[in-house]
Amino acid sequence: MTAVPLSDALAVPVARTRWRLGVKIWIGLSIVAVYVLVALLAPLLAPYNPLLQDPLHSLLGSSAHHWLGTDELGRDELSRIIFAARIDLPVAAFGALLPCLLGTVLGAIAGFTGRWADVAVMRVADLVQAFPIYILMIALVFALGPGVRSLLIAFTAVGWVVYARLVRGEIFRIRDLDFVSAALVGGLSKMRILVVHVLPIAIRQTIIYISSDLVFAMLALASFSFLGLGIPPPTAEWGAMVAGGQDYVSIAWWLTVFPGLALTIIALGLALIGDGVHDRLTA
Amino acid sequence: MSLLEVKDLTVRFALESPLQARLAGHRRQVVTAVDDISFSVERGGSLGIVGESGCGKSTLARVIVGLVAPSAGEVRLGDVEVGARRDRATRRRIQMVFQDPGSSLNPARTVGRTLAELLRVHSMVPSGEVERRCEELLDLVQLPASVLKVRPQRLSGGQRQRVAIARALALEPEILIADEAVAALDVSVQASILNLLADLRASLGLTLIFISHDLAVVRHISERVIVMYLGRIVESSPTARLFEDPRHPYSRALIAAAPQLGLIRAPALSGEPTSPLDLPPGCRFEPRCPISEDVCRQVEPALIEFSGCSVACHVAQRRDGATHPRTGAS
Amino acid sequence: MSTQPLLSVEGLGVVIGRGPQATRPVEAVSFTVSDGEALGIVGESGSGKSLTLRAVLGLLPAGARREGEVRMASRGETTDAHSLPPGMAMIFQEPMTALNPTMRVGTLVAEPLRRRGLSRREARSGAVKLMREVGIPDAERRARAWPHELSGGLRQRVMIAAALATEPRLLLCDEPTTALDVCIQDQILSLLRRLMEERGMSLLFVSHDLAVVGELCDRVAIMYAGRIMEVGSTDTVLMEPRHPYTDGLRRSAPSMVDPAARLTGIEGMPPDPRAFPPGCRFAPRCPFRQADCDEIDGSLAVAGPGHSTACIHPGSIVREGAGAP
Repeated sequence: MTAVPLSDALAVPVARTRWRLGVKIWIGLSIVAVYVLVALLAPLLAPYNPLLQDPLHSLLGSSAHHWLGTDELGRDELSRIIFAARIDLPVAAFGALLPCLLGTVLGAIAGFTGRWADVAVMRVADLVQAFPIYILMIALVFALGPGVRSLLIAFTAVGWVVYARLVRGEIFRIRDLDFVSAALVGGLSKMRILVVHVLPIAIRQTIIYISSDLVFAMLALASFSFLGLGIPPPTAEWGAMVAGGQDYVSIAWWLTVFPGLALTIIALGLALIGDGVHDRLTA
Repeated sequence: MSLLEVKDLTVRFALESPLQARLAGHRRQVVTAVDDISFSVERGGSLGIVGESGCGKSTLARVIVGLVAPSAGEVRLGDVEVGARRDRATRRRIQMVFQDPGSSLNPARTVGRTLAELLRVHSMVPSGEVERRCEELLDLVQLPASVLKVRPQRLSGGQRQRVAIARALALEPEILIADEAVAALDVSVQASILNLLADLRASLGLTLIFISHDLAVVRHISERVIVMYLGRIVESSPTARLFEDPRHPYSRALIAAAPQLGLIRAPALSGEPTSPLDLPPGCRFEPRCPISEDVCRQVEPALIEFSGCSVACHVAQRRDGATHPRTGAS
Repeated sequence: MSTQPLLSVEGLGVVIGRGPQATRPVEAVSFTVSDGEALGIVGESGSGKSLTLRAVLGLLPAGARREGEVRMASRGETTDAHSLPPGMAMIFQEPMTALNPTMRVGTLVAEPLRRRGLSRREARSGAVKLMREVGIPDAERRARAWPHELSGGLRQRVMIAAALATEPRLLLCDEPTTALDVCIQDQILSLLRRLMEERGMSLLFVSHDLAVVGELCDRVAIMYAGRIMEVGSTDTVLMEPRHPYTDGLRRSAPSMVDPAARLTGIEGMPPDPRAFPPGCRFAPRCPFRQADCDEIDGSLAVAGPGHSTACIHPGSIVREGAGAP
């Protein structure tokens, strides 16, 4: 005895649109999948050890031995790009996930607990947002010393604000709906209502946002490395490689272009996913 | 002893924080949504609360059901005072059906999970029996068991409202409050929901409090009616008596304004209710009242009972020969 | 007074989509509105009544097309599907959202006057005059108010004033009192009636509330699942219905007149426009259904003077107590 609401009749027939909206997500997912595979299978795919130096064969262009050439210390560029995926992908992923987690928790506290919690969280958020993001992150990394840990701390300390605001806003909207009141009247605890009823709906917006935040995290990591505050050498990392290649760009352009391309394509893939998810959730 | 007793209940809402008021340079604006209300409901009774928007009836419902805390006065269930903080056992005793079937059910959960959650949290039945009990509840509201697997969006308004009733009954309450429960439904569906509520009340011995702006509906389903205006009770009466001989001019206007098949007459009431922030010193209804007198502008009428009915109107009280407790005037 | 009706609607339909999967939430709707007359269209949600109104005005959502003819008396030719017919104005249900929140209400009411070429001052004073005509107290001062500062009833009056500024001969009303309290609703209905009499204006009034239409309108059309089921003078249709759906509606509403009567709802639910039943669309829910009901084409047949019904067995309705007021 189910009924389809009559308003559905006014919607454009769904079948074709659904497939069309999925294309972006499919392409984006394929790109990301390829990168993830490359990262996982790096030791099998890379022809050389990325740290193996061969100064006699430095700054060589593309050849049968080195498909993408070598860098200033004779290390195989292709292998370094492949192994760099093992750094960039996880750091970017955590660099988006950790702020998301912290922001969601704080946003939920702000939205659901009470006025004072809300005021406290929001004023701290205002404080953080008062700084230009990069300045604050750079200061933190500088203070904590270079390395993955400091980077993640910096990302989290700055990135949580957006998530907190998103989640808080959604909770404000949802908590006035009758089904939340009904749950309270039904004797469910506030904690249970928050976790089981409210949050699953509130985080839909964050899912849309996180797909673009992943892109930001990746580029931020690359930028840090470019500035010399990222992953320290000799570890291969795309941003660091672009930075390192700067000095040789006139004689060995491949040292900047290929790592840069690697960054661009994954960023594109993530952006496509984010776009596609946004289309799906707001259709 | 009555099952539910409301005594001197007042609910105030501040429109701004004290700091904002200080900065704006005026006294903190406060709305008194419910102003010094008292009434009681007997076990198994059916009370209708009627009034237009802004009269405070929904706030009253939310206080009784424990969503809003009183600013003054109390609500007593049996001999226990019940505020906004209630333990689980007390919560069970009073349940509510909300107005908007679109938002009163969680859209992300199936009907079965919503019902099962309540049953489990309150340990209403042993865990093996939960599914069977859910089916029983749906059966009570005349829905097939297949609805358990469905999300609310796939149901019609009438079906959703039945699910909302089933949810309210899951905890086997003593009192069921219906807050404009049929207002958002088509009239043909309304009828079946009203019949359902009446039948459930008879078969389960429920005490029903029905809140509505629709006089005809309240008349159909309630034994006793309270009429509210701007936060106060203006008349309280057994249903038949209220419609036969309404004593308060506002009750009379409401009844006259209800559309009926027939000719249009001059509107029953002109103007609009005064702002709750700007209440006159005397009777709140006086600015629109067709029969007001000087005393109405100066002294607020008290709700005085006279042979089973109560009315808060100087003119009506004088007509009945009731004496004003303070002035002794008759 | 000419005998030609002011508004003539013939075979009106709304089509969504193309080809065999197209749905018609409104189909084969025909009615007329005479000068100075109020025609009510009553239906529940999903009946297509609001779409019908929008189709008359030509204001359909994207993806929806209009079929059939809509004719206004001044022009003999049919208006095509793309232009807004002149002489018509519309007021809407939700006063909260129907007024532009960034415009003061006086400016809103004056806008149609400005478009007709009046100077700003003339338009302002014209607007104030209109606001007074619709019963807004202290109109001069109120003209400077923002919509959010006014109550629902006042906003609805502003909407009516803005509609009147176009000097319409036909006012289309899409449930304008549904969102209002009963006392204010009473005032608005009375206002509409007064305006009809003073201006010789006609009304096309859509509502789900039989009683409201019963009070305000001279004639009423009952819609269900996109078609008209019954049409006739209000008294006749509501007191002596000739369609089981009208009868069912009448018995569903608790009556102020006969409060003790047990309410009988109507079993089941309206059909999905993507899958209308063949024959009579109400048949699946009809207590008087017979075998040949599935074969009719839904056209109206005369049931009495000025009274038509789509039901082929109108005599099945048992009238209890004739429901006199």
